[in-house]
Amino acid sequence: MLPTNKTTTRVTEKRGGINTAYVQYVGLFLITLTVLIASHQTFGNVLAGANLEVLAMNMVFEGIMALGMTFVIISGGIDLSVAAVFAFAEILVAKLMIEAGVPVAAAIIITLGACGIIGALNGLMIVAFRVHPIIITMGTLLTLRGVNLAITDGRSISGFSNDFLFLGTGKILGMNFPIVFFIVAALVLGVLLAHHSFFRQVYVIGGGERPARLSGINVNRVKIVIYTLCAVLAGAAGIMAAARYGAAHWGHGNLAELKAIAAVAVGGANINGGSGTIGGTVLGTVFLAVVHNAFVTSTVNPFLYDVVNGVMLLIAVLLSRFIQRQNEHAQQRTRQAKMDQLATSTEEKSE
Amino acid sequence: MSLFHATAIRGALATREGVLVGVNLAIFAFLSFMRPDAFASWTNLKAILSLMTYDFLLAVAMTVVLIVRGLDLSVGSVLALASVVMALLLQDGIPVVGALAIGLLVALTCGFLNGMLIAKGRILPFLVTLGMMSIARGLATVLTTGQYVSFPKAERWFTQFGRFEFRLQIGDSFYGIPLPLLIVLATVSIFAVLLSNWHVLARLFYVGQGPEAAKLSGIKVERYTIAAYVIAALFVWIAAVLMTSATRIGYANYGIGAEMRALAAAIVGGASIAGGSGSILGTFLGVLMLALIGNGFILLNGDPNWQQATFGIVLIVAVGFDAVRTYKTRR
Repeated sequence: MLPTNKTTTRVTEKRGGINTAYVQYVGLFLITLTVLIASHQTFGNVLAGANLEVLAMNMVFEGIMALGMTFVIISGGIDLSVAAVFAFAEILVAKLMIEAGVPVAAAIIITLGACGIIGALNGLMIVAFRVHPIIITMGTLLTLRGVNLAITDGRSISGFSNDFLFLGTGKILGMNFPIVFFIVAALVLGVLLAHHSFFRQVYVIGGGERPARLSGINVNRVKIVIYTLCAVLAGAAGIMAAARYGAAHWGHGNLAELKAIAAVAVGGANINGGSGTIGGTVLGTVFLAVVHNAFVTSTVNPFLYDVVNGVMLLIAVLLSRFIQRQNEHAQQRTRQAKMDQLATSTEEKSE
Repeated sequence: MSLFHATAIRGALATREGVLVGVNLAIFAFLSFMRPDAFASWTNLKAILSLMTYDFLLAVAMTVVLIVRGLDLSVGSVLALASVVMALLLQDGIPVVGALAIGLLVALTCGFLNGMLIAKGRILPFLVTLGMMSIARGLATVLTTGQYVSFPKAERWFTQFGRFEFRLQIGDSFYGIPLPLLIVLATVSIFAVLLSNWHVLARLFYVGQGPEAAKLSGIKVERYTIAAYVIAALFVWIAAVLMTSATRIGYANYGIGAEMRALAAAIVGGASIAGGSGSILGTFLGVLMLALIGNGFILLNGDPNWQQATFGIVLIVAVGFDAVRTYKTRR
């Protein structure tokens, strides 16, 4: 990856490190805004309250999963099992309340606990087997999806109490509960990821596991914690989705893992690990929601959405790859400049 | 049992293929013992073998890209896209050979794009093929608006050969051997021989084991990576042709979830996501094992819903088995 392109050498040297990340965020924000305004101008009513609610509710569950996925991706891993955990939480909470008669609060706590155990198992297996997380979490995905199908016989479960339904349809300050949850979770996790020393370790692990181990980080523990966190968030999303749809079904959340990963990737996180922020993931989620909404409101063939989704993912990754490369070049040049300086100064001394 | 036999068996069990043959035989024996009438009948065995042909082709495709340290999540949706394109062309009365050629072109283009983005664009295979998965499935759905595409005008040989069976007489009973199965076994066997004996294809392993070292020793790593994805697309196309011919329809929902089964089978068969390993025979045994287990579930307790869960468990057990083995050898 030597700088073969002459134009890249013209980039100013100050543009390295964190600046490019902000450039990316501002760019993504502006593109999102443009799409939003353009679709409002063309189709009308996009910015109306009712549509904004639909727009947000369409992606909010994937968004909550993407928050957990951000931690996992920064650590250099991936969690494909979130979609199955999501459906499992739906089914478990429904079964506990409707078939076992457990009170709402207890059912939710048990469900979140069960999801946490699944996440911890993911983490444990990844740590113990030393296999790429794709394989382990795919195993969990297949297993859990099969379990979901088998314990429900493919039927959906419904008949929730009104208290429970509040979690999906109730409003706080005029916003749906899941959206409030998403915002609060994003704020809390964003602050933790940016400032808490335990979660800062995730970046070090993503940068390189061996150096992280050598610098005294308990890599295994951090990994188990973040996979648990990821599964608990997916479980929380599942519980709220059950309340939102008024039913639990094993097919819910199918391919949600891919949307969550896309949101994180579009949000500028390096999928190889080491970089990414909750803010970026939130922006990525909003972007995907806005584009999806533009498709739904337009008269374009809705099936094209999949195509555009795929193309968008590729463009986003190519772009972040391009920025990353420029970053590397910039860093290389600063390093080279320092070395040159050092070399000339020692030469002067020796003369 | 003589000492020689014991060591020979132990030697065979030391290889992954040996273990897999053993596991397959054990499942086979168990099922024949539990349901001698239903399981061991030729009709049932034929059903298992015919159903696994498609999964086998996709798993071979997956193995090839795994060898070069890649991953292809788009196998299932490229299968659907190729099937839909060919069916639509046949519906319009285009000759079979032309339709198949255009279908092949579509599949190879998808594979080539995957390879280009991964090798030249240096994006993770996981993301590239995830994007391609979405794009190909989306295109297939847009082209058909989600409907079945039948092609009554197509030449008869094409709609016949997918279901054609050679009748083999042994004693008094007839055994129908499906032509697609023979085609697949022949094609893949030739490929397997080439993969292990032809130096050009053997370089795929070098590329996977260490791209840097391969590059330094003069192998054009990027070109081989792209080639692996194109070869994978070729196998996907064969699966699409056979499936379209056997079912006589093109459908945008073909192969949903097939990428997961293919990956699981390839990993069970000895391929690694870290690249540089994988064998066609191992993959075959992996696919066969998953197919036998699936069949066993249907025969034994009548609840096929648990089938999917076992795929996941088998995958995790296989990976755990490997971990224990490498741990032992390391000590």
